[in-house]
Amino acid sequence: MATFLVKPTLRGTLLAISALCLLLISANPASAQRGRTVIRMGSLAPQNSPWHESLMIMAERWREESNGQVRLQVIPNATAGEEADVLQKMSFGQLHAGTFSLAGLQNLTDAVAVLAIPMLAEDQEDLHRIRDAVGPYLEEVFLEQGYVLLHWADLGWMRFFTKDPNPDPDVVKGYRYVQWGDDSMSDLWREAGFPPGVRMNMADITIGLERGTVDAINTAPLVVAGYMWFSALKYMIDVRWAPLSGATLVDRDTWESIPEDLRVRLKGIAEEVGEEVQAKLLEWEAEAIDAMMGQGLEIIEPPPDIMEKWRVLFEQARGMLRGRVIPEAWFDEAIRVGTQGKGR
Amino acid sequence: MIRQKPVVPSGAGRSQMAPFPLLALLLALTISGCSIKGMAINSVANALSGAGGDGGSNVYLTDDDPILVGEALPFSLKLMETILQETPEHEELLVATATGFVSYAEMWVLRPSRYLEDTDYLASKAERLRAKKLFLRASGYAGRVLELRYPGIVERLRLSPHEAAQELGAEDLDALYWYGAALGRAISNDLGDAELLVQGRTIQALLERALELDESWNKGALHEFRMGLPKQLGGSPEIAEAAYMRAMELNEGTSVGPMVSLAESVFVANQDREAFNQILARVLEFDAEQYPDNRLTNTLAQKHAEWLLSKVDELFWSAPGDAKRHPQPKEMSTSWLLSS
Repeated sequence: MATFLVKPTLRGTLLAISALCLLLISANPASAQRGRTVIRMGSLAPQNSPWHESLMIMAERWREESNGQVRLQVIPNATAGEEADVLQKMSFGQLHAGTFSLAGLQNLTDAVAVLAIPMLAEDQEDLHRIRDAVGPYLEEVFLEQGYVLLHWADLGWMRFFTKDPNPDPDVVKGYRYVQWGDDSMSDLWREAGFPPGVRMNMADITIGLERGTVDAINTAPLVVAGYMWFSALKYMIDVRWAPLSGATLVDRDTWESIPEDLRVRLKGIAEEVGEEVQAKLLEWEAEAIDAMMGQGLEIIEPPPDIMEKWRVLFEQARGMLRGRVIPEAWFDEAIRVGTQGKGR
Repeated sequence: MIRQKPVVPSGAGRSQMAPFPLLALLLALTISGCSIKGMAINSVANALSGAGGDGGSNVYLTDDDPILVGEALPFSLKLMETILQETPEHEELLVATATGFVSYAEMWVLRPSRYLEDTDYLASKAERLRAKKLFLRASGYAGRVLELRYPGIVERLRLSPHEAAQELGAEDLDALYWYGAALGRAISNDLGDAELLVQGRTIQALLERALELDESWNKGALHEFRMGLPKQLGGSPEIAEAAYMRAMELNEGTSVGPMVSLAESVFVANQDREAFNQILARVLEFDAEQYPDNRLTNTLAQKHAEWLLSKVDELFWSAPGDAKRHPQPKEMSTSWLLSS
């Protein structure tokens, strides 16, 4: 049903690689050691970060729930590669699960942008309502590609981090931004007046900021704090223009090798862990912003007239998303639940 | 800038008192009279810190029984803290206390917590957070030395790390290193602590400054530190490999710690199972008795190598063709690495 949403290029590549690799190695070689299922999960989350800890707690609860029959092995720090690498490794059985940001999920379908329609969700409640409404559509697309959603993840609210305090969109639009992963929406950003983004690995961004290859970043405060980019970007333009979502996916074949009744219980645990992280997110984000302020970061709150300019800009961007990136029905559903009871 | 060191009375030096620090402490606590008490306390402080002669810590470093040392250290550390209450500006004792707390936290709290991770994550996490507190305590002692020498430096290092680090000179390397190491380990063991997390660039600035001042300091300790830098602070497998080579060159093959670090940080990251197995096999073959001054650290490194080898199937999950190629030990130019 949702096959048209599957990204053809990556999907084709993954299938080709999978076919080749099947000749070389057996699929999921570690998934059935001594009657146990071992699920290796590639994660971008740094070891000992709250996200990593939540996955480790999930691993422990899975082990207990399955009496040791399901073992989740988390590989943190992007050791297993960036998000596209993790998907590729999942396709030929080296990994069986992964954690992904919205940028990573765009490798599977551009339609995940429905979770980040500009200036639609204003708070966590809005985001969760939208996700409850359109999440099942996305789950179906993931499933068609061989991935089962374990839980959604929240990474915070995206803002602009810049070297200049001017919050006017005409100024903020002029910076050279980091382009996240295979950002298929880069054309839309350009159409909205932003210059072409610069693609770089996370580890290279600090050097990019020092050398002036990029001079602004558009992401969530927790990411900026974690990578210490605030030392080069002294201003946070406080326009919470979209939530930064993510998801944890598991390879469908590996997952379905687990008895169904156990799968249901493990999925329940995964969802609980995801909800616990979501509940703490705003607290973590506030702590990160406070800590960065203690190091000299300044928060710039745009005055009402400038905020209105941002709204106009993002209203135009929304129009470009509908039907082109996000199926019209999904887009309309997201708008309906996102504006519910707000008179917007 | 005024630097003050405690007065060490002549004739009451560390070498005389070293075997009897407890007796001296007892005297200090029971004999009335400020001067006698002060003399005794300074003597104990010098004995514990190893100031003025061969290090008192050798009795630990030359030991071949890590369990015994691990059980003895807390008592020594509390004794040092007791003495520091009386001589809070004894710089050598402050550095020695910081060193002791970092070592204890790293080897006897944090490392065992890792061994627990697979079977009891919550208990492992609790121990890791306990180690974090000990690292912070250590950074407080080393930071106090820096503050005594450069009032306000700790705050300046937090706010403008690169500028502040330039104030430090070669004579500060001990305190600089242990302050940076303690703070760095506290940060990396709780990335959820945002207040600490944002101080990562202080670590980077201190390490860069230390390398500028004397990159060969303490037989390659700075390069070993550099091996563990996360990518957020400019670390990478390539940098870790270069740092490893220099660390081994400087320690002249007397310490196998960097070999274990290389296996764990670089060979695992690059999924080079063959190099991992080879280098850890060398670590286990190494004769720890050969270099008595490093007996304890080498014995601990060997124990960790054994544990890593027991996890090899879990650590290496990629197909053989995926591994990034590393020079095998036999291809490395440093012959001492292979001495057998």
